[in-house]
Amino acid sequence: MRQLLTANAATNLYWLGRYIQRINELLTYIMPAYDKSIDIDIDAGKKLYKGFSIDIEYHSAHEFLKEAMFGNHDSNLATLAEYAKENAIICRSYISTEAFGEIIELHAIMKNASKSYLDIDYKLINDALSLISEIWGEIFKISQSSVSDHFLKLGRLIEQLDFHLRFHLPNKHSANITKSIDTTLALLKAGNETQKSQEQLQTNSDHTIIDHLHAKVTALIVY
Amino acid sequence: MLESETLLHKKFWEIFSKQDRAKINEFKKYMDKFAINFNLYKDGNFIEQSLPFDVIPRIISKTEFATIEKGLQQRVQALNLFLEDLYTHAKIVKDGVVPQEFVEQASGYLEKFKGFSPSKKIRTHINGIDLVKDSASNEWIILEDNLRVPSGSSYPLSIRDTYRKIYPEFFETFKIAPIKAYPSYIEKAMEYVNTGGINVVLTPGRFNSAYYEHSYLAQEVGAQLVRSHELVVKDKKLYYKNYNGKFIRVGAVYRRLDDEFIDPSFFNPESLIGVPGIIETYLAGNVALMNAIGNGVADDKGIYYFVPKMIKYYLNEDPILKNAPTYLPYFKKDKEYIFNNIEKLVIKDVAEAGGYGVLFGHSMSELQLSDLKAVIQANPRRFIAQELIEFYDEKCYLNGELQDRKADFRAYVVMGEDIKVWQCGLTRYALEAGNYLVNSSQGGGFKDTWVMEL
Repeated sequence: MRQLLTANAATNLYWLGRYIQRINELLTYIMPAYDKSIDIDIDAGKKLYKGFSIDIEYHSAHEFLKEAMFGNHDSNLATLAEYAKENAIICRSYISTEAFGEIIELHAIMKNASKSYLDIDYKLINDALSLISEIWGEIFKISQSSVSDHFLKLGRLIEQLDFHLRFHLPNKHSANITKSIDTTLALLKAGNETQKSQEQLQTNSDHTIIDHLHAKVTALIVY
Repeated sequence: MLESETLLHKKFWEIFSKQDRAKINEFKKYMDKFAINFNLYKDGNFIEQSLPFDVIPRIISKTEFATIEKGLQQRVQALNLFLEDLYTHAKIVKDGVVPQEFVEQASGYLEKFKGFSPSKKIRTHINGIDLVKDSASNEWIILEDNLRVPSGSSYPLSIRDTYRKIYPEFFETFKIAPIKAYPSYIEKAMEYVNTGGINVVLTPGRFNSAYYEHSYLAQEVGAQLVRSHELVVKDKKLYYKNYNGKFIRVGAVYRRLDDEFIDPSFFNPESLIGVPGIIETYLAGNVALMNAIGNGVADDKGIYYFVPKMIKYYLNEDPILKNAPTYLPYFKKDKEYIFNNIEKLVIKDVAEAGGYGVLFGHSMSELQLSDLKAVIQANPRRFIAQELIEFYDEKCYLNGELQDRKADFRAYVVMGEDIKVWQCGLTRYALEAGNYLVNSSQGGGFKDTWVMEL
């Protein structure tokens, strides 16, 4: 496995993976909270965002969508899509043309929706999730064996793990993700760490694990 | 004035009239989706925008293009010989064909590079030659040689695939020259001059107006896209810094920044986008820079005047493609002509580019012309004057209707082991009717160029 990649490209690929997956996860969690806030518990959205350490205020399910997706907080989807777009522009020569185009499209629909209250609905979430599926499909269509793919994959996996840990999903799922992270890190020759990510699941807090994994990735990249 | 319609044009309009014009919007969508941008700085703000595209292609018959091709090969060969001669023995100056004073006053001439010969003696690797088709003579005329960092090739390369998908009927009906080989011309030229190591495309970075082109070409050429700090010089050799800290030797650099910014330790010390020490490496013969340093002297608007003489001097041939009739106020006789005819001439400041510093005598007042004469008198080397070429308009489909716009044609010529002329190019049209300035930085757009036959 030998592919030339600058430190800047590696960093941007890693963060591209993280931001795309973060948008994916957020949208996936927002959908059931939206339903719940209509039928069962108007505060379902507030409880969800507590999990991200974000306080949001709203008075209806639709307002929840608006606040969750485009409120003034760190998980604003228009901002995340903007970050992903910047990452993609910088490392576009390492991703497929189609995947690049879909990232730009994702950014465009988020940006447009953030400007129009009426455009924020269920369909927007479905469209964005479809696009993200296509982005991942395009990125990993041919192989996952190049260095650039590994950095993207690491970003995606670490973000998945973050959500699993935040919402206390079954440990088995988190273990599978950490196994994949370990394999990918090993492929990038970071396998000489004494403590595997899987072992850390048993011993560390959620926050520490993600920070530690992030540090492992950044340690791979020499500026 | 529009070019008379050939059979090729007639056939084109026959097919075009049957097409669904609503599909034209797909081009804009495609360019937006894939961020095919030509960015601008306006009032201190960075504006990302796609280059305006017009669906009506410029049509050039294969026969006509064959002459252009030969003419461009001849011209680029002569320009390369001129640069190599100028920076080594300067015979052309000693023989009085090009005045020494004229060379020395060219802003692109770099005395410090005298005596240096680059890899394989090639200096003009990637060239953009601007032509127009004169409506009076019906001939193609060279307006400008761009031998430093010509841009624009990625736009027609990117749009052609979309054109084929949206309107396949044209490609089924005509034999339109395929264009995908262009990146391979660059790749081969890089390999030819490579001094040992990988190929890289050096970009000033993401906020450069042509960053899209840099990343696109790097991908297509199979070279690594790098910014200055991702290259490092050690022991007069250039290295690429891989993400894992390993250093990989670089043998050829397709640089997309001007001479003065490429090495802060040699040129402008304030340059943040250059590679310290790269010139020392280059002068040691350990890396090829494409295009060569110091080429600016040959695409100086004043030196342009001498290109036909260079062709005769080095190749003993008559130029296949003509220059626009040009006068140098530096010469007394020419100055007199300019002063007597200034109201019908185009005056160009040799230090400017991108459509800036171009003055049309016919649109200036008496007072302005008088002031201009005084400026020319004070600094004759700074200006050239040209007869106004009434070049053909091209039909453009703008805002839902056909309109005429002035259009030029930038041809791309790549020099490696041989000289390749790309069977396409960048046809640029002016933003407004009657405007002669077609530059992208002046708001102009582009068209695809079809070199074709029935």
